[in-house]
Amino acid sequence: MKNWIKILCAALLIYTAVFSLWHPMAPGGLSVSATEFHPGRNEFEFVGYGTHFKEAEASLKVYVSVDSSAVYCADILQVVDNHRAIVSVFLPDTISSKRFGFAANNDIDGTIIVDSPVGQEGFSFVPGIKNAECRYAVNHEEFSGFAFPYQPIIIESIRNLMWHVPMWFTMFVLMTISFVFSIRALGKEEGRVDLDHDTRASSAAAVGLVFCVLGLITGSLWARFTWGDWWTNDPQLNGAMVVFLVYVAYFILRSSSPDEEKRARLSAIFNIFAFVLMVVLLMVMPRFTEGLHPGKSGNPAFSKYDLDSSLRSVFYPACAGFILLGYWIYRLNYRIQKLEQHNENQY
Amino acid sequence: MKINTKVHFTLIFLLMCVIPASAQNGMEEYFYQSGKIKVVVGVAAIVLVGLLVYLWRLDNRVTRMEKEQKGGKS
Amino acid sequence: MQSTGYENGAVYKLGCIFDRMNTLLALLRKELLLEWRQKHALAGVILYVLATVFVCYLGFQRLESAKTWGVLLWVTGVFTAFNAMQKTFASESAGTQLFLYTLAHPRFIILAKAIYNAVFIALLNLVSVLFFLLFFGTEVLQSVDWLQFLLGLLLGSTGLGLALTFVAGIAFKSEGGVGLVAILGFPVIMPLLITIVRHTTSALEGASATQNGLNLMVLLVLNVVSFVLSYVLFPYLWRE
Repeated sequence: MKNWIKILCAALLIYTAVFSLWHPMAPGGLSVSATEFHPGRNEFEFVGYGTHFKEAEASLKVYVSVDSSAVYCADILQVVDNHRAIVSVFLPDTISSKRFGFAANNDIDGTIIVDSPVGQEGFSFVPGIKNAECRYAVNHEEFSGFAFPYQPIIIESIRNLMWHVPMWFTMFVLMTISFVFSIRALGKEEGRVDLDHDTRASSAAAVGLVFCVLGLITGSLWARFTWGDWWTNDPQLNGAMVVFLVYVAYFILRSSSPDEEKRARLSAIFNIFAFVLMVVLLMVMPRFTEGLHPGKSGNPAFSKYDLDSSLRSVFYPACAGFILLGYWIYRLNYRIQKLEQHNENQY
Repeated sequence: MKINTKVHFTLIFLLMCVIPASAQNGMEEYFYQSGKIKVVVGVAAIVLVGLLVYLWRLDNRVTRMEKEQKGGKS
Repeated sequence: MQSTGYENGAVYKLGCIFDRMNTLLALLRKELLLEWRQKHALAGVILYVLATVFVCYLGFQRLESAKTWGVLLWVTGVFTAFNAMQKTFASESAGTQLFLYTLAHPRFIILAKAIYNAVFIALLNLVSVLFFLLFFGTEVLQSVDWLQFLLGLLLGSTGLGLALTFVAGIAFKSEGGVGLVAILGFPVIMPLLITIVRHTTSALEGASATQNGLNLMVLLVLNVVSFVLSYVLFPYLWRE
């Protein structure tokens, strides 16, 4: 592997490490303190994340929308600090619904939204609906600045995107390398098994397995802090676990055959099976089912996140860096195995 | 081993800076806003640089061994 | 070993369909005869099914829902399938292998074994369904779409048979033996298992054909994929 590629890999990875943590988060709505709203005056506290309520105190406006049919302006009672504002809203006697959405807008943060915080049915703040008493009128809609997008529940842990997802991309690339070399090892039906290609296939699969484990661990940790559980019943999670088991079985098969050529042939055949299984489990089956993990019904990757250019600016280098790293480690693994085989043959 | 010791000491030094300061902050003080994110960035960069240097040196050793073998054969 | 015309495929390609069918049928007959001569193995597997269902009955007495019915059925089904695989390749000693190889293209051999195993497992699963009906009755099965259920059972069993025959081929070639069939086999049949359990439980709960149709399609696709892979890869396995 050329030296400049190794330096590029190092540079990409360090860039990822620094900027996945360094870039700020865009402001967003964290929570609303009240749990019940009744006709009349309601006082509650609006809490934001990464907001600038104090700095843009003059331009702060808070809205409450009910049932996506009416918007009410809230009066700002006190702006406690940059994240908290105590407001009160007057709701008329006709209010009977429990579906509320809240939005705050100021000149720095743009519109930030807290959706269905009172635990009732999912409901989104819908701006622009006119009401005789309150007109939704804002100066800036969006936060203008380079920042990672704010997603409720996930908040800061979106930075994990640059670490967790590249693990799986790298595993996929390495398993593809393993698959290609397995096919080439088998060659034609009459020919002998190519042992060198089989060594390449197994070293690629070994490094791919390491990345699979890393992906599972990082994903499990992320799940614990966003979904609350270390593991959920999701087809992609279960599929990833099965892929891990299949490639472990591949190595068990390799260790159970002492004869070199037989081992090469059997493991090459099983590798082909395993790769097809991986493609089916990770790319085909999740498209048909529902689950928590992003990337279902259409695209087994993530669609909502990667639209944002700020994420893309760190994500693509991260993927490239990790894929190069995986390839580098695979080449090292293969070369060391060749050296060991050569030493064995000599003695 | 020399490099390993350096990494260890730097990590311990950084950790020691963080521990007394964190006792004063409440829940509102997120890592990013308080500027302490620099610690995390530093730690991550150091860990990565350490791993990459290890890989680089391993690569050089393997290349040297391959050259020796090829030289010995021919 | 000497290479015959079947190896480079020339004679094989020139043979007509009738010839191929004859070979296939002959091989299937051989499998059936072997099974019949060793009836104790067949009895052993059926006894295993009965014992499993009986243990479930002793534990549960009555089932709460159709879902439990379906899940237990397939737990039994999977282990039965693994049991049935034990003798697939074990009966082939080295001498028989060489002899067979000169007679027929390896593809026919795997095809015959795979079809035989698929049908065998399907019949075994039908037997286990009968046992389940005997012990647990139909009290939780008010609205069962029997056609869907049987179709799913059939496709699931054939899928298991196809995939496991090939895995057994790999396992018996190496020195791993029966244990290796389980280690290699469980991950390989996972997507099939997930789909078949989902299909069976929803068919038992009375889902309509349109709701379940996707599951059935996936089962069919998995069957085809297993078949194609086995068909393509088996000659490499039997090259010795």
